[in-house]
Amino acid sequence: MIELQNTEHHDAVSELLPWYVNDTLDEAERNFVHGHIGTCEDCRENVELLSQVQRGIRTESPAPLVPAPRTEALLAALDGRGPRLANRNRWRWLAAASIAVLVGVTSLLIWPRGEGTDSPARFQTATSPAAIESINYVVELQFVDGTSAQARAALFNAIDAGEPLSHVNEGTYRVTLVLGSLSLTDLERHIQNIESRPEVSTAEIVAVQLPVE
Amino acid sequence: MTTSQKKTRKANRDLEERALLELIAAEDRDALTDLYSQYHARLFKFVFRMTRSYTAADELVNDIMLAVWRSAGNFRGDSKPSTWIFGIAYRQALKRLSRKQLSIAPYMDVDQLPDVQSKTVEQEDWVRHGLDTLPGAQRLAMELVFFVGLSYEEVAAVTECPVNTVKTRMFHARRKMKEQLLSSASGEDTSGEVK
Repeated sequence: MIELQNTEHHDAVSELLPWYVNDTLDEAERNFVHGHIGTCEDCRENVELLSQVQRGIRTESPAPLVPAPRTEALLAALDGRGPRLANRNRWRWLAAASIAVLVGVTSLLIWPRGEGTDSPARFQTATSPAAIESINYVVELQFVDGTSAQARAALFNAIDAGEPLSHVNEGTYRVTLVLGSLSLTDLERHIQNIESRPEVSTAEIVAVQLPVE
Repeated sequence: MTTSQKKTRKANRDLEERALLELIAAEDRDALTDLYSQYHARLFKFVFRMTRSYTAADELVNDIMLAVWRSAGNFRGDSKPSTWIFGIAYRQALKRLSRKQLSIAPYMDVDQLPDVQSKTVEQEDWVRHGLDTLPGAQRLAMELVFFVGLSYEEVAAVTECPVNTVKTRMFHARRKMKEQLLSSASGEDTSGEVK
């Protein structure tokens, strides 16, 4: 009977653990859980696991930049005009050109020389998860006149660019971005987001890098 | 900031958002713009985590705000405005996830591909990988609890489910995450199933 009560007690606590970890239980529930985990190794392990999950979820930032709110597009949608972005076509073209270069270079690298077959297998490596995750984009950033070195460094940090690849001329730098498996539209949006920063005048993809073993 | 100061600040924010929703129900565009700017970053991060796509997340945030505009008159004030808005975000994200699941099904033949690098990534980032292996409803529950920080009653309100269902989803999600952690630690990949 006592064992049964303990099991029920354990199950009730176990169900509450996610909210013990995110700190939204009321005081009575919190004390109830707290009292139990002091004596239950299994629940302590689960608290540790859930804390790791919470840390992972809260610290992971898969979106390098949150885009600016598109208020105009929202208001246009209210009127049934539909959201459209300026410069969209220009970026779509650039992104498409980048991918075309990527596919072309990859085909040259892995095409079996002298065999000239039309086997679709040659495209498989270029689109495999490992290859796609390893794609680097070289982006040329033209800063607004008067941008301080500190502001430039802050931007490089914000876009996960690290140290600039090269300093082209006054106010223009080339950086390497590892963007992985972004779609064309997402790539376009990503570059647009960088260009929309107040300290950036223009941002353009100028090269695509592939790792070669 | 003390706990009581935080509570006062939250209560004030709730009152302000309720007032905005009333104005939006009366078709006040400025109120919608205010609410949009307050929620944009939080909603974007939330839905981006689901879709992993700038375009989809960007579109979803505007879809959510359009839904807020259209249904603000239905907000009865039983829940916090943030719970109500995240309820809309949840349903929109779930709809998008269902569509995504249909389209990614044929893409799972990864065993024949060179996988050394992705395996390393899995080991370093087991949380993300673990979340990716969860069914949509469990994954959204995890995000609502740990990313948005909702209580179980709030998750139940957002997802329109009984509290027990929420607890059960979290229990199963936790078990799968534990399996993911163990397999990550041993260097195995157990995620071959199609989501």
